[in-house]
Parts: sequence; C-alpha cells; structure tokens
Amino acid sequence: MSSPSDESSADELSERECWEHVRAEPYGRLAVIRPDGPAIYPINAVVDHATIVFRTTEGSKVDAIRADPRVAFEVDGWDPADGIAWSVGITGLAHELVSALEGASAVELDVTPWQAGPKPIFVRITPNSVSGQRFRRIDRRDDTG
Amino acid sequence: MNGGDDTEHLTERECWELLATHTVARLAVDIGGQPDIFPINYLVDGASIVFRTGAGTKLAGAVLSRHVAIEIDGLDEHDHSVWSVVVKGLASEIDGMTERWAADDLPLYPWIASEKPNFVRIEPRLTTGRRFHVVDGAATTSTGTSSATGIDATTEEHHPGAPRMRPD
Repeated sequence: MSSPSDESSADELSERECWEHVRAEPYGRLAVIRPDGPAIYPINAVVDHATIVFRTTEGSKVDAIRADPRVAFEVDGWDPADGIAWSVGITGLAHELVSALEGASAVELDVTPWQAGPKPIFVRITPNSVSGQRFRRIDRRDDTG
Repeated sequence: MNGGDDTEHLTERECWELLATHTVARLAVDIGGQPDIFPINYLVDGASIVFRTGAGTKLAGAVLSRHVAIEIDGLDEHDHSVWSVVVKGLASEIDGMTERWAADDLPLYPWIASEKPNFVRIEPRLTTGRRFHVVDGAATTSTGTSSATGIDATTEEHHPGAPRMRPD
C-alpha cells in the first residue's frame, strides 16, 4: 500500500502478530484470478500449522484455484475504542486436500462453514507471504451510514 | 435453522443500497497473475465506485486500466444473517479531480494517507450480492475487535469478524 505520510502512521505487524490476528479472526476474504479478472469471496477459515484451511463446494472459487492456485487471503478489524485498525494480507498457493492423511487431519479442524449446504471440499492455502499493518483510521466521518 | 443452503441473492438495487451506506471495502487486484487484497475507503458516485490510491504505488499500478473487484460484507445480528456484495469492473484514473474532491470535502480517505493520490473510478460490469443465515454451531466466536469495514461501527457485534453471537 502507499507510504505513510505525516497525516497518518502505519506500523508493520510482525509475522507473529499477523498470525495472532488471523487465528482470532475466522472470517476473511479470498481473492483468486479468473479469466475475466480478479474475484473476491468472503470465507470463514481456520489456521492450521501456519496454513489457512477452508471448506467450500464446487463452483467458481474451486474452478479458479484448479486453474491457477495463486490466491490471496485478507482479514482486518479495528478497535472502536482507540480507532486503531489492522489488516493482514496473505498470499500463497491453494490446493484441495485429497489425500487420506490430509483429509483426516482436516476434519479435526473446526471449519464449520457459516453458510449451510454441502461443503465437501477442503482447501489449504500455503502462504508465501504474510504481512500486516496497524494504523489509525483517518475517517472524518463515522462509517455507520 | 434448516440444514440446506438458504442463500438469498440480493437484487442489484439492494446491492447498491448496501454499497451506498458503507465506506470501507476490500479491493482485489491482479498483480502480475498474483491476486492481492487491500482495504480501501470508497464512495458511490452515480452508478460507479470511486476510491483513491497513492500515485506510483504498487496498488496504483495494479488498478489503473485494469479489471478489479471490491467486496463489502456484514452481519445482521437480529436474524444471524450474513450478507456480502461484490462489484467487478474496470478501474480507470479520474483526471483533474483532486481539487474537486478536496473542495467538496467528500469523505474519501485512504486508510493510509498519501500526498499524491490517484482518484480511481470503477465502472461496474457486474454487481452481485447474497445473504444467508449463519449455520448453528459455526465457529464464529472471535476477538473483540470490529472489522475494519466499520460496518455498524457503533455496535461492534454487527460484523461477522467480531461476533459474540450465540446461535439459537
């Protein structure tokens, strides 16, 4: 993102802080590249040994991952008490869990999707980059609409 | 709740009503084949989305004259439903808009200020939205922080990222 100016400040989060946020925040967004451009999906996921695991079903998300496993995952949040916001971005490679070992491991994870309906496909994102920032929001109006 | 998929597709009008009443989205971009996601502040301007980036940044290079997608989402606490809206379209730079935006003092601020902003407009190609009820027993407990979306920022429980929900 852009460089901080005097008007605001941003601190880079350590990788450990990034993982703490992602572990605590089960809800994020997945970006994939499709033939017509990037696509983004809200997903709920869990952290499993420095990887991200989520459940899904057949559809555009999985089609895109099969065509190109490069993905991004993002979580963010902010504390209304002090106005400090944070954002963690992970890029990496996604693959379906198909082996017996992986499947057995994955079903132990608490990755109940928020959305009902069958979600038979487990996908693991193996990160190649984990970065995050903490900064003061500079909105001059409330976001409450 | 039922065991099947109760996903409701939002109308385009409902999508734009949600877009108009929120200000923070996530922007998905394609950086040389690698997707990436950035939180942004945005405005609805007519039938398009406007936001700004720092000139010359990696993000600016990834959005200008490129296809992008933005996403907003939220949780309606009263009925445990989650909604999300995605807009896909072509992003292009707005020329000569800096002074106008500054003069109008529109609430268009990036999360991190930049001295030389690009103003970018997304002309929507596809706008979709959906709403569904959260599955009973799903692992929605989390930390106390609200989502950076600022969705219903005065009541932090309203974002799925920060629920203290008790499924019935």
